[in-house]
Order: sequence, then C-alpha cells, then structure tokens
Amino acid sequence: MKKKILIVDDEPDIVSYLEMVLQDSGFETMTAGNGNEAMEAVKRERPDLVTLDITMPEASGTRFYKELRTDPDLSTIPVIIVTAVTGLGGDKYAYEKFISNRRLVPAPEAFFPKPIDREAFVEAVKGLLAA
Amino acid sequence: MSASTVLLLSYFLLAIFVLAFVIRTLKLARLPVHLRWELSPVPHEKGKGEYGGSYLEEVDWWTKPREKDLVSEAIYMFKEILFLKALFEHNRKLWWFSYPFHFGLYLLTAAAGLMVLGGVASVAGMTVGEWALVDRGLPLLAGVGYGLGAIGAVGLFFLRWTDDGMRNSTAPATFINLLVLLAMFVTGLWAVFSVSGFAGHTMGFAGGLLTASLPPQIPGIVSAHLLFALIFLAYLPFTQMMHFVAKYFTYHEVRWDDEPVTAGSKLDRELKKLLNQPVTWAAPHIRADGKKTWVDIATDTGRPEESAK
Repeated sequence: MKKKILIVDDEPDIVSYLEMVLQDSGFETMTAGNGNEAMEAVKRERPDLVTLDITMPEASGTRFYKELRTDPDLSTIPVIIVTAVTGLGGDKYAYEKFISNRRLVPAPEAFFPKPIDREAFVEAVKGLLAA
Repeated sequence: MSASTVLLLSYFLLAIFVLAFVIRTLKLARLPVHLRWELSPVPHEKGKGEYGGSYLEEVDWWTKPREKDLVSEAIYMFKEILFLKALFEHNRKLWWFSYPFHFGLYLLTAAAGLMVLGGVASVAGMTVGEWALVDRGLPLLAGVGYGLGAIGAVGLFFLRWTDDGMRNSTAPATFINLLVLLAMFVTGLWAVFSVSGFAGHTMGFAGGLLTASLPPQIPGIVSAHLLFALIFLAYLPFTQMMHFVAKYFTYHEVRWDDEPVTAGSKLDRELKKLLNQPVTWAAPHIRADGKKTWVDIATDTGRPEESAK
C-alpha cells in the first residue's frame, strides 16, 4: 500500500510541485492550506508523514507543529519542515536551529529551505518512511 | 600635579560624563518612532516562546488579549548581557575576544562600585580596609577585569584589522577607542601589581572626591590611572560605545515593541506626524522635492492626471 503524505502549504504552486515530486516517487498525497486544515486532515487521514510550511494564514505552521507534537496520538508522525523563512543575514537554516531549541517541541525529523533540493528531499522522505 | 588640580580635573571630567551621558540617553529615548514591523518571537509573549510561536500568528491579533511574561524577558536579557548570546550565535569569531573584553568591563564596573562603596564607608568612619571583600576583592576584580579587558582589546583590534570583512565595516574611531581602552587596562594592571594597598588607595581617592580632599599619599600610578579612567568616562558618551544604552532601546523600543497601532492612539498620532513630514531624500525613485510629505509620495501613482485629482 502506498504511503500517505500530507502537504501543508498555502502557495498553490509549491503544493503542485511537491505533489508532483512525491507522486512521481510513488507516494499518495493530500493537501492542506493552513494549520487548521492540516490538523483536521491529520486527525481524519492519519498520514505517514507531513511536509510543513511555516508562514500560512489562519494558523501558522509553528502552531500546527506544536499541536501535533503535544498530541500523544499524533506526536510520532514524522514532519519535514519546508520553508522560506530565513534568519539574520539570510541564514536559510535559522528556523531549523530555532525550532530545534524549543522546550515544548522536539526538532523536526528533517528541514528543507525553499527552493528545495529535490533529490535530497525525496531521499529524506524515503528514509523517514522506511524507518 | 598637585592634589587640588587632580581633584578639580576629576570633578570636571565627572561632570562632563554625567551631563553628556544624560543628554545622549535622552536623545536616544526621544528618537522618532521606528518602523512598525511584526517581528516574532518576542520573549515577553507568555507561553509562546516555548514552542516558537507568537500572538502575531493569531488572526486580528491586536484585538485579542496579550499576556506578558516579564520573567522570560528578564532571562533573555540576562543571557544577552552576561554572555553576549546573540554574538555567540551569529558571529562566533568576534565573540572570542568581545566576550572577555565585555566581561572585563563588567568586573571593572563591579570594582568601581566597591571602590565608591569603600570610599563612602571610609568617609562615614568605618574601617573598610579590614573587610576582606573590599581589601582582597577589589584588587582581584580589578586585576582580572583589566587582564580580560586587555586580552579582548588586543584581540578585537587585530581581528578587526586583519579580517577583510570586519576592517571594511570598522570605523577608524573604533580602533582609537580600542587603543584608549587598552591604555586604561594596561595602566590599571600596572597599578594593581606595582602598588601595595591598591584597594586602600583607590578607596582613598573615592573618599577624597566625596570630601573634596584627596589623601596626599596616593601613589602616582594610581592617581594617573584613575585620572585616565575618568578621561575615558568623559569621552565615552561621545562615542559609539554608548551602544550599551542604545541596545536597551534597540530591544525594547524596536525589536520587542509589539504595541499595536490603534486609531487615535499616541502611536497613531506619532506616526501620522512623521508621515506628514516633508521629504528631502535625494534618491531619484522617491521623487522628493522638499515639499511633498511621505503621505504624498506613498500615494503618488506616478500618473500626473491621477495625482492632480
């Protein structure tokens, strides 16, 4: 059976691209446009992995990540953060360092700054879903 | 130099320091309101920092209650002031010298505090010289402070001089400031190691300033060093080293000022006042003529027929 991946992003172009990349690699995909929709989808569909954007309307990726990680039933679902958020001097990995240092939530399983390195991204997804 | 000259010079330098420090601080506090931007996370957002969130995530966040966590903010400030955390994270190469430099200055500030305290106590008739905290603590704090400061100043000077990126962004005054501070640290070290009874002499100097009567037996190197330190103090408010005051405003009035702009509020009025200032910016794309305000420029479509309406 195909593994299910939830793509959470408010940019339709990014969603289409990630859908294409993941479907081409043999995964089933579903999508959500913000943190609230994503939480509903996770509860309803129980995906095997989530790719998560951070800056989104209604409910941000940061808030969704907290809700997911603090829910005992959902906290083990692997999350790959895919974001264009940068830090001082355009540091593309600043958000990864930032979220990995929070007391309430653990570090995400993987992190990719936009634009993503397609091969490395697919490798990471396969690696996480094989584990 | 006679004792009375040293005394007068000391008062003069202290007066310059106090006056210039107050004026410069007031100027910083009265700078125009900054650009409003939504930066997060802010350490005083209660319950948000633990997971990296912010109340700016909320839809219409300005209409919702915002709880403040001042303990969290104090912890952040403590780490920043005591360990220069942001520099450690973003410019490690500079931190290796900046940290001993600043920590040395903190120790010297503590030593100066002890010196003044001891001076006051002496004037009040207490035999402070017998207090181990003062008698041993003051030279220890000062010696370590001068040593760390000197290591930091030399390291910062050479790092800024030899690193292409840093040299290009370092003003000539920064090199001069580092040399002035280095001279103060070195004369201080000299005084601590060459004079027995360093604590007693420095407290005598502080007490002398309070009573307008310097004790005659203060060794030359101690007087010279303390005068040099006072010259540095008088010079300090005129330099970029006032950043220790400016930093308060950078954090509290810019980075962490999350007060929303509501219609009719003081902030709203201040912003409107700024927007109605004439613009003299020479950049051609702004098309400023010294008469148009920021509002005129921001609403100018560039089409003569629309602008005329």
